[in-house]
Amino acid sequence: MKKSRLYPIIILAAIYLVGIPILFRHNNYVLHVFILCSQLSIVALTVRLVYTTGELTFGQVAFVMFGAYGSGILAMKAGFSFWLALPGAGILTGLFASLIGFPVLRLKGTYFAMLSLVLAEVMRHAVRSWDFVGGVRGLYDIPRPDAIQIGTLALIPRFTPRDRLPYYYLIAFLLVITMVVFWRLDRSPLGRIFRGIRQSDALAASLGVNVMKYKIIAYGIGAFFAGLVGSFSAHYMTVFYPESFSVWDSIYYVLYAFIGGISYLWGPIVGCFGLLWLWEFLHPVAQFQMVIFAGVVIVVILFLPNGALSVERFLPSWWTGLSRILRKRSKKLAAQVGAMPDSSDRKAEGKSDGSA
Amino acid sequence: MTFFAQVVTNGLVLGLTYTLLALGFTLIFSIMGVVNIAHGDLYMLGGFMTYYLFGILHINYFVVLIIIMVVLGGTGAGLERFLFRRLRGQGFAGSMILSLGLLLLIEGGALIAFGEREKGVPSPVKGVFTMGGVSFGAERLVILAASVVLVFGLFYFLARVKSGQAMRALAQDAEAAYLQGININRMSMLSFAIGVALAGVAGALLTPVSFVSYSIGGYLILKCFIVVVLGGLGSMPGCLVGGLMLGFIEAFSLTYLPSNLSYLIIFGLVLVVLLVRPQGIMGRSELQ
Repeated sequence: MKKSRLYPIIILAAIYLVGIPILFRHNNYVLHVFILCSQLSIVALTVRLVYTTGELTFGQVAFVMFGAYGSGILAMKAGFSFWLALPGAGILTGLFASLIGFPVLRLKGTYFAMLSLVLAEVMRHAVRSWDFVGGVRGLYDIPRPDAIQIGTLALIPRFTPRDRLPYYYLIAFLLVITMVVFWRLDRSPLGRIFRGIRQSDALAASLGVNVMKYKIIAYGIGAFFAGLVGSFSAHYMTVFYPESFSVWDSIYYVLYAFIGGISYLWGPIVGCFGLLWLWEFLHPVAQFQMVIFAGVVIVVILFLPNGALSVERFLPSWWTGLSRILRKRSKKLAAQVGAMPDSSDRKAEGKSDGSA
Repeated sequence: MTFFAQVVTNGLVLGLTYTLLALGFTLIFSIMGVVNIAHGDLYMLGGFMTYYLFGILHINYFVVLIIIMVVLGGTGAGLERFLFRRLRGQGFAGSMILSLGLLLLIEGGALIAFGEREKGVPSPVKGVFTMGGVSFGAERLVILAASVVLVFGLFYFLARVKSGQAMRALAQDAEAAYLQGININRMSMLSFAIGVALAGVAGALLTPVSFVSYSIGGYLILKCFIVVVLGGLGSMPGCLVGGLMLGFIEAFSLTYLPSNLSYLIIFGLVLVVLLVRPQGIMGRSELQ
């Protein structure tokens, strides 16, 4: 990674991990919104991961739900500690996704999108009418994450409902891990195979790539992280019902990923933090909140169809445009003075055009 | 027996309105490749126009239907011209996000303009028909007649009228259609106008027997997905089959089963159809 790209990441990480907690330590509302942003970012990142193989999934909420229920049941009925239920729920969700991946991933494009959406709805209705997992009422009184101690030394303090900071750090930790894993994945041979499948699955298959296998791997890894988020949210909210996981959540995950820029690793995160905070900032305008929010979404998708981060593509040309304007002014000045030769100036302009 | 026949009529009426809704959605999808999530909200606009024009201003119901078709048709053409055209040919994801933004915009606007209360409209025609012991309200007869006319009118338009044939050509192969001299821009606008007008009319027809509220669109678009997937994505006859299927299943399961289970059955059926026959019941098998 280039040094120039590393610095902004370090600054962002410092703000996220140190700055925000220090500034808003006692502001539970702000911390709560940031916790939500982090949760949704992870899920939106999994949408992006599946999209790197070319498929747009509208069913990630099913895996969040699976993780939440899995973790809730592991903790409440099997007596697992949260610290075991969290990875347990993730692994169960990943396995479940790999199993249903076989029939589901046979479909492509719009058909897959529709199927994933319908699947999420089927699972929600199935849970609704299944009394073992609480039926319509859902699960409640889910234990909060417990403390871990060695002797008298508390490695992890008790999680209390009033103090949101431990939750903030827990989900921040998960987001950072997800980011690092997906970043490595993007640059690994596996990530290259995913992108190859997206460009042309027929070509990839003709080169001996088992397309189905790799799609299932992407689907399974995505589901693992979505399951982690489900588990976290179950123990964070301590109560949820089937209605907490509607298809609209799934559709919003896709919205966040696309508005941020789904071809960028940072896109889903930018989309989640940007849109969620936009929504929160729009609270004072009451009933106009939704209209303004929608306006922003429409403007971004119309003028930056590749997401907000694709602004970076226009930045250089703005710069050259700006510098050209500046140079024209200086040229005028120069012409007045009669000191500056024209031809070399035009050459420089052409050069800057080419690099834009 | 009479009860059974009553349920069948309910299913038929529901099914035909779902068909109208899904036909508009499919028309837009098959010609533009746009998955228009805002389709249910255009239904909602039709419903509110009925509420204000017919319910409050007492304009003749059939005049209201025509006004809605014209106004929403114009809206649809405008949406295509100024929004969706910009994203044409960039895959379905971008236009889907755009339509999601549109859904939020219309819903938010409706919340400001119409408030959050559910609105009902008195039925446009009074009276009860009795046929062989089965009685049903005259307004259901109106829905039935209007939907049949519109559905088969659209089928006739697509099969026989020149611009309808052009639309089908466009849906089959846009490039080839363009080479044959079909004006893609004009046809896209026309199909969007017709599709949106159909959604509005469905709203106008169904509102007198149910209600309309600003948030009804999101609920209806899921129904629309079910119909379209059951019948086959992009297939017009499939809309009729899927719409009637959903109408009958809903009417029967809501009567004889707990509502919880009925939706599980409906979505389960859709899942099975997708897995066994992804192109839907009436779709072409060009897939895979």
